[in-house]
Amino acid sequence: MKKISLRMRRSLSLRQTFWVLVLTMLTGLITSSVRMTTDYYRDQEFLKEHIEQLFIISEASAAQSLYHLDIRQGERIADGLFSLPIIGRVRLVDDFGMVFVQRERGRTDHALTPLIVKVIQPAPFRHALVFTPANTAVGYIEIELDAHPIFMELFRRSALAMMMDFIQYLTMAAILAYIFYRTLSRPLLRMTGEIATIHPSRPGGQRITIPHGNEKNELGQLTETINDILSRLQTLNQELEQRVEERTADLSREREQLLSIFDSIDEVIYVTDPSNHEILFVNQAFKELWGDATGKKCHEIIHGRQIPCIHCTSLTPLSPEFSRAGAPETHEFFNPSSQNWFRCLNRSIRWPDGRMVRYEMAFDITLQKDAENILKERSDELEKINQELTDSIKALQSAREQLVQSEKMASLGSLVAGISHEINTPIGNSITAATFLSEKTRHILHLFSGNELRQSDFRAFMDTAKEATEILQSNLKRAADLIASFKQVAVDQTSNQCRHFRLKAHLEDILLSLSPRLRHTRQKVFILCREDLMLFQNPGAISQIVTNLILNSVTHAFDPQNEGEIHFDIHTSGDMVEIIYRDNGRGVSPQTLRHIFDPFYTTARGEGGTGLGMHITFNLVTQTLKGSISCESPENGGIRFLIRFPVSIEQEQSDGLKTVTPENTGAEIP
Amino acid sequence: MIFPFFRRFLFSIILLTTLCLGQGNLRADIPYVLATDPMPPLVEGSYGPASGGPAIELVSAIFAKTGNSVQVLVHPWNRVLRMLDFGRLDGILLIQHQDELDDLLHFSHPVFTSHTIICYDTRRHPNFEYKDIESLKGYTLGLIPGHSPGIEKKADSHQLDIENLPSIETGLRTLGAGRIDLLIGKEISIAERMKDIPQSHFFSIWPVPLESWDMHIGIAKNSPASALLKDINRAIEEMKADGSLESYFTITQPVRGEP
Repeated sequence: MKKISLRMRRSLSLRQTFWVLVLTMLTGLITSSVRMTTDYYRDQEFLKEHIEQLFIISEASAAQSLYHLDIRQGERIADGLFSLPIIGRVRLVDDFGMVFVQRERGRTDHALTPLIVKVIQPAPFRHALVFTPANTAVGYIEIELDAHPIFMELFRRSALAMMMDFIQYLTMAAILAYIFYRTLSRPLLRMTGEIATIHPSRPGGQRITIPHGNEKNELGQLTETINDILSRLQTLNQELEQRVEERTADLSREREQLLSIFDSIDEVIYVTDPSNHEILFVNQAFKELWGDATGKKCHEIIHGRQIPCIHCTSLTPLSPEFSRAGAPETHEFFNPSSQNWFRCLNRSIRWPDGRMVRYEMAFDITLQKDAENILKERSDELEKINQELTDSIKALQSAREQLVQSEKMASLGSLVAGISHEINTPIGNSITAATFLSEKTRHILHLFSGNELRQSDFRAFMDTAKEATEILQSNLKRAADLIASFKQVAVDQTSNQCRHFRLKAHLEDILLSLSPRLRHTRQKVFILCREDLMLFQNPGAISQIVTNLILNSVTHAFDPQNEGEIHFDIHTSGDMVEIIYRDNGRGVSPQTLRHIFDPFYTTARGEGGTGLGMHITFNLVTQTLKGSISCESPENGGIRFLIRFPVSIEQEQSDGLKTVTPENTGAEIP
Repeated sequence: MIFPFFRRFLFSIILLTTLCLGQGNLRADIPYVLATDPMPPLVEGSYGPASGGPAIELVSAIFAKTGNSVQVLVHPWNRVLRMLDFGRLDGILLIQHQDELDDLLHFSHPVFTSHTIICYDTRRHPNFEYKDIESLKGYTLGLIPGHSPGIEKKADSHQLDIENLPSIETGLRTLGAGRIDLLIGKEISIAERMKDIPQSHFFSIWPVPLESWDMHIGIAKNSPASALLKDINRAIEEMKADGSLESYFTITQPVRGEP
C-alpha cells in the first residue's frame, strides 16, 4: 500500500488516473443516489396506485363479506390479496371494530430491518367499505406493504446500476491515463533521463533534446527553457567556483588569526564534547601544561581520572544549564596533579558541525586563594579576640555594678553609724533623767506609805519631776528629729525617686548624717544657699554626690591634723541650679584632673580607695540630675567643682526613673 | 300572604307535570329498532329499512297496544346477531326460541308457529326420502343462518355436509345450479321465493316439516324495551283472544301437518 502511494505521488499518469477515477466515481455516486431517490419515490407512487387498484377490485366482495359477516368469503379475499409478495399484511375490520380477517407475513428480523421499515415501508393503506345494496358502512380493509421485497428490488436495481457505472468510469480513467502517458509522461521521463546525466556543478555544453513532435507545444518550450537555464548555470558555476576559492583563502587566514589570538592568551582554553568528553580544541596555554590533547578525554588529561568529573557529568547536553546557549557557568576546583587552584568559566557554544559543545576557560587563582586563606585565618583570630574582649567588658560591667551597690551600702552604713552616735547622747540623757525621776518617785512613795511625807518633800519632788520631764521632752525631741532626718536621707538614697524639697535643709541633713565622720576632723563645712530654694529633683542622687565630694576632700585633700574649709556656694541661674563646691586642700595634679571622672582611677588604691566615687558622681550629675559637672584645681591649691542641673527635672527620664511631681506624689515615703 | 305562596307552589307543580308528560311523549315518539333477516313474504323489501309486510304490521300493532312504535331493519342473520350483541338493536322482529340467545334476549309469548322444510331438485334426487336426520347424510345441505337452528346445531354431531348461504334466494339459485342437494329453510320464505326462480317447477318440498318453531318477539335485555315485555305479552294474549292475530298470518298457516 505504501509502495502504491509512493508510486502514485511520483507518477503523474497514475495520479491523474486516480483523480479521474475518484472524481468520476464521486460524480457517479451522486447521480446514482439521485436516481435511486427518484426511483424510490416513483416506486412509492406506483405502489400506491397499485394498492388503490386492489382496493377497487376487492371493495365489493369485501363489503359483502363484512356485511354478511361471511368469514369464508372474507378469508378468500384476504388470501387473494396476500398472495401478492409486496403485501405484508391484510386486515378486514368490521363496523363493530372487530378484526374480521387478518393475514400477516412472518419475517425474521435482521439488523437492517428497523432501518428498512422506517425508510422504505409506507404507512398502512386503509379503504372504507360500504355495502351498496343496504347503503351501510360495514368497516374497512387495510393493506400494509412488506418493506423487504421492495427494498431488495430497489437494492438490486441500484447495485446493478452502480456496478455498470463503475465499469464505465474505470474504463474511461484507464483510457485517459494511457493518453496522458503517451502525450506527457513518456516525453517527460525521457527528458528527466537526459537531465539526470547532467552534473549540476559541471553542466558543460550538454543540452536536452526536444521530444519528437513536441517542438511547438509546452514540452518544447520547457526543453528550451531548461537548456537556457543550463547555459546560465554553467556561467554561474564558474563565477561561484572563483568566489569559493577567494572565500576559502579568507577563512583560512581568519582562522590562523583566531588561533594566534587564542594561543596568545595566558589562560587555559579548551573545547570538549559533553557527550563523550572528547577534547576538540586546545590553546597554547593548555598545550604547555598538558600537551596537545586534541581527541583525548579531558578528565584523563587534565585530572588524571578514568571517569568524568562531577561538574562535567552534571553539564550534559540535556541539562538546563547547558541548553541555555551562551549562559556562562563558573566553578572553582583544585587540580591535585598541578597543585593549582582554577576558576573555570564554562559556556555552551555551537560547534561548526552543529552540535552543542562545552567551551571552558580556566584562570589560575592559586595566589588569590592563598591570600584568601591568610585573610580568613586573621579574621578568625580577630573574632576570637573580640569575643574575649566582649566577655571581659561584660565581667567588668557586672563588677562595676556590684561596686556601685557596695558604695551605696557603705555610704548607708556610714550614715547609720553617724546617726546612731548622734542619737546616743539624747537617748542617754533621757535614760539618766528617767532613772533619776524613777528613783525620786520610789523615795516619795516610800515616804507616803510610811506617813512620813511632808509638804516640802512633796514640793521638792514635784520640782524635780518637772525638771526631769522637761529634760526627757527636749532629749527625746532631739532624737526624734535625728531619726526623721536619717530616715529621709536613707530613703532618698535607696528609693532613687524625685520629690520636692528645700535644698539647704537637705544639705544640712546630709551634713548631720556625716557628722560622726566630720567630728573627728578639723575641716568645717559652710553652706551658702537661700533658705527657700525649692527643687524638684532626685534628693538621693544629691545626697550621694555631696557625700562623695565631702569624703573625697576629707580623705585626700587634707592632712588629719590640718584645719580646712569646705564650701557649698549655691545660687540659681534661670531654671538651673549652680553649685560651686570648693575646698582649700592640696588640690590635684593635672594628670589626676584629666582622669578624675574615669572609673577605677584612684590615687589611694592601697588605702581602700576603689576609684569609683567620682565616676559615680559624674554619672549621677549627668544622667540622674540631667546636669553637668566640671572640675578644676587652681595652682594655689584646693579643688573646685562646678555642678549645674535643672531646678525641676523632666517628668519622664531616659534612665527609666519614676518622676514625682506635685500632682503625682508617687510612692509614699515610709 | 298565603295566597301568593300557594300560587307559586301550584305553578311549580304544573310545570313539573308538564315536563314529565312531555318526557313520556318524547320516548313514545322514538321507535324501537327491531331487526330481522329477510323473511319474505312476512317482511317485504331488501336489505336496509324494511318497507312493510304482515310480520311488521303485526309487531307494530302489538307495540302500538303498549303505546310505542317500531322501526324494522333487514340484515343478514349474522349481522342481526352481531348488532344485538353490540347493543345496536332493541330486539328481533320474530325469532324462534334458542337457548344460546337467552343471555341477550327476552322471548315474548309465541305469536305464531314457523316450519322448517326441506326443498330438493327432483331432477337430481327424484327419490329423495326423509325419515330422520341420518337420512340427510350423503347430501350437501344448504343452510340459511337463522332459518334452521336445530339442523345447524346437529350438523357437526351427525357429520352433515353443509354450506351456509346468505339468503333463501341464493339458496334456491344454488339448488337450481346443482351446487347443493337440499335447501333447508323456513317454509314461508321458500314458498314465497320459489316463484321467482325459473327452475322452481323442478323443485319439490318434502311434505313433512323438518322442524316446527314457535315464533316470538325478541326483546334485547340491554334495551329499554325490556321493560315492555309484560305489556307486549299482554297485548299478544289480548290479540289472540279477540282473534285479531289470525288475520295477519293467513299465509303462514301450516299446510303440511306437524313434524
